Parts: sequence; C-alpha cells; structure tokens
Amino acid sequence: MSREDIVRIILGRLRAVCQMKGITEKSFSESTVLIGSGEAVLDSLGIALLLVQVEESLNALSGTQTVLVQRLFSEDLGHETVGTLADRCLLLMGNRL
Amino acid sequence: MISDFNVEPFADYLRQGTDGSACEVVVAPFGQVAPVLIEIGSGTSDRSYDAVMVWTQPEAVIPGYGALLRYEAVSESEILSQVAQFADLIVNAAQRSKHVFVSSWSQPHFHRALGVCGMRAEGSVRMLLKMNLELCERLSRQSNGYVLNSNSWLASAGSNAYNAKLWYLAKMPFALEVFEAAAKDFRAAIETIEGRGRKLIVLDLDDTLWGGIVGEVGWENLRIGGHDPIGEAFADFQKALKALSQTGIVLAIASKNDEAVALEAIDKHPEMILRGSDFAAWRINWLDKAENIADIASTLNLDLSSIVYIDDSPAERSRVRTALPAVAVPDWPQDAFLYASYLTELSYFDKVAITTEDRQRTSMYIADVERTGTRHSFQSIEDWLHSLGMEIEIEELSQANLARATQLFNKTNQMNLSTRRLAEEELWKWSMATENQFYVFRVCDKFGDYGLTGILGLTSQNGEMKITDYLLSCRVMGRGVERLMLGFAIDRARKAGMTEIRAEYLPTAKNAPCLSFFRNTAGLEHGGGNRFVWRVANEYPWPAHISVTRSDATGK
Repeated sequence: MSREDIVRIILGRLRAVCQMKGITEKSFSESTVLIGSGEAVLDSLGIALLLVQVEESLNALSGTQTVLVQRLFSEDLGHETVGTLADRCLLLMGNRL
Repeated sequence: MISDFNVEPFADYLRQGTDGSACEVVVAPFGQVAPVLIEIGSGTSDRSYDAVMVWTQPEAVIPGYGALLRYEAVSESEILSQVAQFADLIVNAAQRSKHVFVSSWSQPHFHRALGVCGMRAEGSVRMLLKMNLELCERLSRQSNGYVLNSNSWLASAGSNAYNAKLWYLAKMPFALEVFEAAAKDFRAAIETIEGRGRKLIVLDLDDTLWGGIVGEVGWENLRIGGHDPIGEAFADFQKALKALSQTGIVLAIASKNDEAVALEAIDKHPEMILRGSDFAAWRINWLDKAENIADIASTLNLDLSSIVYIDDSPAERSRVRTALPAVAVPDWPQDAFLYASYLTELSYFDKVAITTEDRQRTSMYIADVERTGTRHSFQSIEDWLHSLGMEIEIEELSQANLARATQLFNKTNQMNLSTRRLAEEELWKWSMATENQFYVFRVCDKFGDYGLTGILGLTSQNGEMKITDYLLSCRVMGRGVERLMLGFAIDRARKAGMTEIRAEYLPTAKNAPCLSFFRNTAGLEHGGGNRFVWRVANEYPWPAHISVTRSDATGK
C-alpha cells in the first residue's frame, strides 16, 4: 500500500466524519490540520472517529489486522496534518510488516 | 438528549437536515441520566423541549442488571423494581414534555452470557428481555412516551455495531452507522406522531406486483406463488402489502396495460393475494403514469404528499419523481426476492396506533368511489346529497375515541382551521380543561361508514367563545358536514349564553379549502384578516340532508 493510497483513505474518511459533524466541506489536502492548532478541523471525538475508521479501511484493504489506533494513541498526537498522519500510518504498517 | 455515554454523533445527525428537518439538539451532561430526568419531571428545568430522548446502556442505569452481568446473585424482582423506578422517572419527564422517546436496551453480540445459561431463569439475556418488556409496559401507560427498537439500529451495522475502540477512546459504545440509523428512526417517529405518514401506495403491475408481463405471457403464466421461488417472492410482496392495508394504508394501481387483461389476472390468478376489492382505485391504460397517479389522488381526494409510488422501472420512477415531486418514490430493487423486505423496511407507513377506521379504510374509499359515481345520475348536487341519507353522531372526546381523534387531529391538512398538532396526552388534557369543549363527529350514509371524520374544539374565555379546532377528513369534504359542524359550534355558543362565536384561520401550505369554506359561508362576518364572527342571535341554516342521530354533547 502506497503513501498516496493512505492519504486518499484519510481524506475520504475525513470528509465522512466532517459530514457527520455538519462541517461544511473544505478543500482538504495533505496540509489540512487535523488536530493541534486553532485551524484544526477536528475535535477529540472527531479524531477518534477518524482514526478508528482509517484503521478499518486500511485493514480491509490490506487484508490484515493492524493495531494502528492503539499504536497511534501510544504516541504523541500533538499536532497532526493529513500528511503527517499518513506518514505515521505508513511507518507503523511498515514496522508491522 | 439524555444518555450515559457519548451520544454526540446522534445529535450531529439530527442537527443536519434539509427542508426544515434539522433539529436543535441539547445534549444533557454526560452520564447524568437520573438527575436530568428528575429536573425535567419536576418542572424546574429552565427550558422546554419538543422531545426528550433517553438512550442508555442497561447496566449503567439498572444496577441490579450490572450485578447480574458480573454473575452476582440478584433477584429478578429487585431488577424489575429498579426498571420500574427508572420508568417512573421517564413518565414524570413525559408529563412535562411534548414527547419522550426511550431506546430499548441491548447487549453486544459478543457477550455470550454463558451460552444456554443466558436464557434460563438466572440468565442475563432472559433478564434483558423482561426488562425491555417492563419498560414498554410502563411507558405504554403514558401516551406521549414511546420506546424505540434499538435492535434495528444495531442490525444496520452488523457485527461492528458495538465498537470497543470507540468506547475506550471516546466513551461511545457504537459504530457511527448505529447512531445514523437511530437518528433516522427518531426522525421517522416524529414524522409519524406529527401525522406526516403516507396513506396511499400506488403500484405498478408487471414485474412489480407479479412476475412477468401479463399482456405478453397471459395471466395463467404470471409468476405468483406456487412451487416457484420467484413466484413465492411476489406472493410475499403481496402479503406484505395486504398486511399494510390492515393498518389503514390504501392500495391503488397505475399500470401501462390493457385494463381488461390486467383485471382478469387480478380476478382469476389462483395465487393472487390481492384482489380487486383490495384496491381503492386503479388507472390501467397507456397514459402517462404521473397523470394517472394525479388522477387517482384526485379521485380519492388525497394530497400527493400522502402517496408512495412503487414501480420496478427506473424510467417510470424517474418520470414520477420529476412530474410529482411530492409523491414519495423509493428506489426499488431489481431483485424480486428483496421486494417484501424493501417494503417492510420503509418508514413511510409507521403508525402510533391502529384504529378501527384504519382497518376499514380501503372499503371506505371503495364506498366513496361508488358514492361519487352516482353523482352524475342526479340533476343537482343537493338532490345527490339528499339521496345519500347522511347521518351524523356527535360525541365528546373520550378514552374510547381518543386514539382515532388524535390520529385525525394530527393528520388532517386541508379542512383544518388552525392545524394545531397535539399528542394524545396533550389533547386529552386540553379537552378536560373547564373552559374547553372538544367534540368528534362520526359520519355514515347508505354506502357505508366514514367513521370518525370531524373534530371541533371550542374554548370560552371572558364571556366569548372561540373555535380553536375545526377539522374534517378530506373524504367527507363538500358534503355539508362542515356546515353542520359550524352550526353545532354556534349552537354550543348559544347554549352557553354567548352572543357571538369567533374563529381565526391560520394559513398553512395546505389548508386553503378551510379558508374558502369560512369565506363563502353566508352570514359569517369577517372580523378583519382571517378572523370570522357569527352573531348567535342569527339563525344558522343547518344542512337539511343530514340527520344527527345521536349527540352526547353535554357541554361544560
């Protein structure tokens, strides 16, 4: 699974979470800030929902069971963009593999 | 929104919505179920709510059940007593709210509860069933209290319905799909209670009601029932439609076919579940289906917004959606095996209760088509009305007619003076107030019984009587019943020693016929704007073609 695939999954899930929360669609990109600053699009519930859904999508696509959420929450999620989250996912998946 | 877990996604789904369906949602402090219910029930809350939703996990609000889940020894009576206490809090809150909804309790599928032990006397699965039953029974005593079935929400998310990760991360036990399904169900319940349910299903025939094209294969070769899986699926679809007709949903046909050929199939095919008498109207011809549907609506005197159209053809569905946007046209599967389940899953036909009138509705509409058909053999409408032999019974609101009166009160749109919407409990309370009078009108004629079709609400204050509610089913509009009801209202004012009776028309998108009636009633003075006044000293011309055979009106 490439980094581009992961970015695409994160953006898709981000749109779904934002839609559920009634957040008007913005043009999300790799630089969209998820958490950690005033311009962040998600609150703590939103980031939890996003990570769980991203994990489900990655598991479904890779056909494996990752423990992505557990690992991500073991780390410091202070400031995160779509791009940095994709990097973390790639790294965690690579380590597991 | 009161819950012991994080219920924000449910609130978020409700806050969204197009065409005015978005709700303003207040989420009570997390885990404060009992204190918030007590606050609402005591009337000390500084806000009033149109609806209160209570969604809890059973072990969080029923401590005895929590103990049972830990396999501690706890008696059934103790647990049920705790359920009763919890239900009492909800009932008290319901007395201060318009509607209260409570989710039924559930357990995750992965909680095996010791397998077979779960359903035995000491089992938690069996206990949960009893708890839900106790909750339903206690809430059913409160007419504005409703239990929503959470099992269907959980089923929508399958085995992922309970999500451990979301629980640990966000104190949210369920997947988003569960909250979305719950929000959808909640909206449907509000729509149902407020009388926005649909009344008529218009059906296509070929490959919708039966398998095959009757004009090509002949009625003998249609696939309905028999030792044929596809035929069985069509028969089951017809059975599901027949079941809906028992709840007051009227059936009609709009089909591009030769009428004689199609009716022969309905009449002669031995496996047909639905026969001609199950349909209130049909338009079987080669005309545009949208035109036919509009014609059926006109014949049955039903608003287009009360219709659901079912057709296997995407092109026909698209045409009807475009031409008649008020008609609900659900997407329909190509696979006939799914027809019955698609139908039963639709929320358009949800009901609060099934009344006697509901069970007789199709025959009432058929009688009305017959009745209207005789109109042309009379020279004047007065002669025709006299020929009908109309009789009316007038009753005060009672527990016996409350359910039907509430249903009519909340569903009537066209002949409706003020379009108030009240739940059963609210209606009853209003009618019991000393200053108020509330009457229902039952109508029948030589063709049949229309049932309870008219409602009149009167209130007296400061020596003045006012008509608060004046509404009549569209099935009897234009037959003089509206005149009789107004005459009766004037008579009540006279008996109460009033000098005049007033009415104020409140416009909606649909109640113009009511304004037209009030404007065109000779002797009714315009009191400015949409206000009308009748001087009681003036005699009112009662409709001579209607007999009042019984009146229980005693007044207050």
